[in-house]
Amino acid sequence: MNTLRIAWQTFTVLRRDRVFLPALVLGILIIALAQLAGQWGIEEYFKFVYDLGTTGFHTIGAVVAILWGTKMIADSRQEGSLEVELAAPVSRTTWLLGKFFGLCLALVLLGAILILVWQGLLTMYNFPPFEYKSVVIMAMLLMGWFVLAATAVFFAALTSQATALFSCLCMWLAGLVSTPIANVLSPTTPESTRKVVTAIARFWDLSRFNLGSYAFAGTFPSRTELLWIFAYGCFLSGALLGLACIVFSRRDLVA
Amino acid sequence: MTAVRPGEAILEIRNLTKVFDKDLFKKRQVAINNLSCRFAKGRCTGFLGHNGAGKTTTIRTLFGLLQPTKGEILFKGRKIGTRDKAVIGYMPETNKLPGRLNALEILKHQLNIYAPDKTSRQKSEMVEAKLKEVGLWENRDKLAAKLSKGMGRRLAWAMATIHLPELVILDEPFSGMDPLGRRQMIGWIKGLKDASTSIMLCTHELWSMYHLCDDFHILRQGSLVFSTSEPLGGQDKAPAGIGQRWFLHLSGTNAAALAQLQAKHSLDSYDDHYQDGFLSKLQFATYATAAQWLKAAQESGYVIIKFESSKGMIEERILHFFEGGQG
Repeated sequence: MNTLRIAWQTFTVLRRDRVFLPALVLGILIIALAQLAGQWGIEEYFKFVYDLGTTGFHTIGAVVAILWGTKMIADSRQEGSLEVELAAPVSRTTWLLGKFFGLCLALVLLGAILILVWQGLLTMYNFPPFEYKSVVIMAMLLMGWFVLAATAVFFAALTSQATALFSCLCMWLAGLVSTPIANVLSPTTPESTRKVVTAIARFWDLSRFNLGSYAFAGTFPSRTELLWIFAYGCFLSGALLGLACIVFSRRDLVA
Repeated sequence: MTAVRPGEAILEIRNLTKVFDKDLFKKRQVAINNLSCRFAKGRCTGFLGHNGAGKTTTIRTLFGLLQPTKGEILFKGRKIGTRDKAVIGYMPETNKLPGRLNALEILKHQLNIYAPDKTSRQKSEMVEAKLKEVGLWENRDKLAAKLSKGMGRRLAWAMATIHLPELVILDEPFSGMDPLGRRQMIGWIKGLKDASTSIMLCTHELWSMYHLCDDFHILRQGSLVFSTSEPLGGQDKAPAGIGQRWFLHLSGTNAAALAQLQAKHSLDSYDDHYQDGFLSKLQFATYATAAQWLKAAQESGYVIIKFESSKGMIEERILHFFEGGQG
């Protein structure tokens, strides 16, 4: 129960954070631009809208998740509220999980507003709103945000904000390019390198959450495949959070 | 040195040692060195020491923010755990408030965590009463980041005491408060004492010790160097606390003259009396009584040889320990 109380408090704090409004405005602008570019583009409207829209949606959410995830822990340390909050009858694990769930709530709010705008614009161009494909694509992108939020919480629990931020950005980029790189390895690539790259791509592949390319393709992942992607997201988030809790509960939190 | 004291202890620190290990950027540092002391139930205990003596490190270890290298902390005789923290209030050294929440939200959250069994209505009433008590009701919707330092201290006090804790730990409660605020703070702490709440008071404001503390422990470089609650010569009784005393020396008086003076002006009794020829040396525990006697003596034409408080003496004594002196 305390986890939920801390989550709600964190959600309230993040909602008032100065990052929230600019991120929202930027997200709406990118989505709107995607729709406009679709109209003006020589390519198929649908492809343009989804390519640009999902990329914008993913980028905004990813940056905000990383920024908030590292900032909320660092802020608690800097302003010292961590000391007061942990002097309360809550364990460190409860506190950290509460923070993560609060962050997820704030991301859901951001995502929900962006999805509504997205659907609204689609309706304006006479596309059916809340189509199954469209909703699933957005939901999976949201799952990707949660994984990045867990990554940010993990690094923030481990190190300072600057290091955590840098590490998270690297992890994000690595997650996006791991599979494409593994797919285009030259036949002359040494076997050991191939094994390492493939292993990284198998474990840390954030491109799995971007189903935008399926929107204009004839096929779409089945429910089982979607469930696997969802489970993969839960596994990554759970593993990172578990590690974060172990690290966080065993170290000195203030010097 | 170990401070032991007969009677019930709410908090007991046993052989606590905290060493910050050497790393790339820091040297190895012994912050607390085999510290043992007790905090009696229902009493206000001063926890004194120079900057870096280990007071805040001890508090942080108590709350589990730092892992002790050795030793343990007992709360009501058991090793302190997460649940015990529900009956402990903590006011940190500086205002450590979540800047993007307002006073109302902060205190509601505090009650949700510390007193989840209370109804929503009860919580709202408690929050309102506490905010009115500390004079923040008008500023209840202001974000904590926008509160002045003094207001922040008031809010920190409210956070530490809203759940009616059994033990309140105050780390420099007077820092950043104006004279009026300090006076109010003293009143609030006295209120806690009257309610038999145990208090651990860390402060550099030595004057506050005379007004508030029953016992005190002095730390230097992480070790306990003096404690008023250690037994004297094996006697099984606690020595007096560090209460301030006032001294009035009157010339040309004797015991009979003093009794006459007391009866004539309906004066409260003095606490101690020593007669040296025609010089009466009187000692008082409260300023009010001492001042009554002073006025009466002046009106009756007695010669006032001396009227002073023990403040200077006690302050010198505490500083003596800070500077490395021994008991």
